[in-house]
Amino acid sequence: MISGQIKFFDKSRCLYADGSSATASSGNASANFALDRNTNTYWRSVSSNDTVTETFQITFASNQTLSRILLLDHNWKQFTVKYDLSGVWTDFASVVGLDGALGGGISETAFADDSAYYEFTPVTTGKILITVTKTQTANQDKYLNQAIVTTELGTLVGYPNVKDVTYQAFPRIQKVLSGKDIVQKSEQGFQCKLDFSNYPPDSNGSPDFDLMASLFDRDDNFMIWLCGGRRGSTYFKYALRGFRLRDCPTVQMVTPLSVNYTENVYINPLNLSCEFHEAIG
Amino acid sequence: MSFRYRVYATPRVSDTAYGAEVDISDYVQNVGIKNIIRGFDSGDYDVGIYVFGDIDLVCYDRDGKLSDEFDSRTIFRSGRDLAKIRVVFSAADGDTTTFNGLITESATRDDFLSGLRTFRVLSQDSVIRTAYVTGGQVTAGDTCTAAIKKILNVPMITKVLTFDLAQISVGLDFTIDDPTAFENRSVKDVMTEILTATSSVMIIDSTGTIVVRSRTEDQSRPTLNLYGKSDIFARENIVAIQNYNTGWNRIFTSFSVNGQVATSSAFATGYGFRQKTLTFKWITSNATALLVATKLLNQFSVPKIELQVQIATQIAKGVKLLDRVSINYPLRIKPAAGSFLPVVGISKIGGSDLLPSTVGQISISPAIAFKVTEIQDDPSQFLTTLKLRQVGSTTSDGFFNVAGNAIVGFAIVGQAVISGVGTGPEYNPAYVGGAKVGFTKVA
Repeated sequence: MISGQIKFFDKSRCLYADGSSATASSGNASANFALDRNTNTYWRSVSSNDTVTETFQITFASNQTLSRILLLDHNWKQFTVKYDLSGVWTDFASVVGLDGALGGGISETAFADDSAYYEFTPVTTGKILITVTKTQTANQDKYLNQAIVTTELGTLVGYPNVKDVTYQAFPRIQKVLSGKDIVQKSEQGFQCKLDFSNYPPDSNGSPDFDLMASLFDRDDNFMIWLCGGRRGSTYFKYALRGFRLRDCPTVQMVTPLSVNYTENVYINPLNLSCEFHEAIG
Repeated sequence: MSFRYRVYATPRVSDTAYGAEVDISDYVQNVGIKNIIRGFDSGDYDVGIYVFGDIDLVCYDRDGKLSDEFDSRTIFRSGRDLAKIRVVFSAADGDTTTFNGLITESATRDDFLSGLRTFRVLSQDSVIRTAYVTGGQVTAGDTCTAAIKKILNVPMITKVLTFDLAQISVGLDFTIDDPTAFENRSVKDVMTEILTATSSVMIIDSTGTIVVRSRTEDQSRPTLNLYGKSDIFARENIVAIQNYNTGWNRIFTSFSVNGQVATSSAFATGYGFRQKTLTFKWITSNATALLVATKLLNQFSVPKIELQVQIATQIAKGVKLLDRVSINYPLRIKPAAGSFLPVVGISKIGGSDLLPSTVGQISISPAIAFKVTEIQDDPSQFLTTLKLRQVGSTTSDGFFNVAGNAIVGFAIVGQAVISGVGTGPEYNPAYVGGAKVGFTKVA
């Protein structure tokens, strides 16, 4: 079973903006919308039902090494995901999903969540093929908001204080003659802070500091998954926006890496705070 | 990917020779380079005035390496004046030279309190400002091209810049009647007049070669594609758009050159009578003056959209003046609550998908073709501001000539026919924001 702590991934390797593309057996005109990291646009099939198997193929701009797949915001019940190995569609090996190990690659028959996540033995490939047959509500057109293929940068061992999870619409507010406001909202952006307070300076805590330092050193953007794959009432009485399975924004660490030892004693617990902003590119 | 600017100095080893280039980046303050500007047509009511901005280099000379020739520690053994300075934008994928210039010792200043040394670095065209046209240098009957060669291909200029006759191609060539009007004037003043009269621009390329060419965009180079905040594929790379205007402030519907007037009655009626008066003492032929006036009128009688777009220098680093730019800046489209974004070709007419709401005051179509008229780098922010002007000189040009590139608004809703079944690009399913109702084929 996946650990459920906050995860960090490299930015998606199948972005339309970076030259990847998607084709679909139906609704092909909207296929690339699943590769654009835009939460408003979807791939949708046309006139499909549970007797029709739709295919959705992603072709990368160049061969990529990947070990994680996220399928965010979809309505699929029965689907498979394979990768291209020398022209043959091949199952991933050692697959672990949200609820634990799967046998026989990525093959779901009764999937019930709105987003899927899979870990598997790393592969190098130029294509991914998704086949979808049934939807969770029977005989609906299939849809998918985002397909993400990536590698993992790390998973936190501990549980920092997650603060100031913010979705900002960057509104332009103008006051008009009546005294009322005209509010024009813009595209939304995500921000959050992680506050590591009194962290144990041992194997229970120091790996998280190493991970934060490596993220600070990164020039490229990366993704943060606050829910870490956890969902349901056992873990969230109510899943706030930012903590849902589908919430995996592309971010960058924007603050200096501010670290210190408690009371300046070098064997004392560690403190660290950092802030992430949703970033483009 | 991380970025930085580097500064290199090439000291003189003699009056005419230069030594090896030296990296002096570690002496330059982190905010020690102000904006780097190169462009033309910079003023609202100016035409053809080119600008290659000078810079001030603020350095902390901790060990005297940047001192004058009387300090034995200096790298400038033959003096700092006319030493070359090169500013480079450095990224993991390579370096790009953004500025080449020469130190002018007369403007170098030292601050004893802070220990800072400020160098005034003139852009490469500074030699054009300090050179002058001598008597008899240009003869009557010379074409403008020949005159440019005689004026620019002189040792004072060619010791810094490269002159190549193959790079001189004016927009309008004609013979010069009275070249005495050039004598004892700075080369810059003379070139400004010649460029204006010939509807040309002067650029100094990255190799230091002088290029004179027409004002039209360079179609041989790739187009820079820029995307706004609501691009449907989230390819946003525009930081800001400033000073957007429809270009009415820069149109002239009449030009008077030496009293010879060329007026567009149609545009003067439509946009108002706005006359620009120019005097060129070196043109005495009325026919030539009228030719010049007519050429200028054709360039500036139609309003063309102008704007400034701010982008990361990493994106702009390969851009040159007169490069083409496409800006995809759509309105923000928000799906109706509980509904998908309808896509023509997928959504059913009369089906359940609701039309989205659109928000925003202005959009820019990617079909509009812009050309770069000014590039301004801000080294402290790693940002570049491109001043753009729509290409073309008529009401119907100014767009990318790409098959399938229809402009909604030419066809009339209610009269145009929605395309039926076919195989050409005009029958492809449209995307939201790019619907091709009443598709008009590009000629």
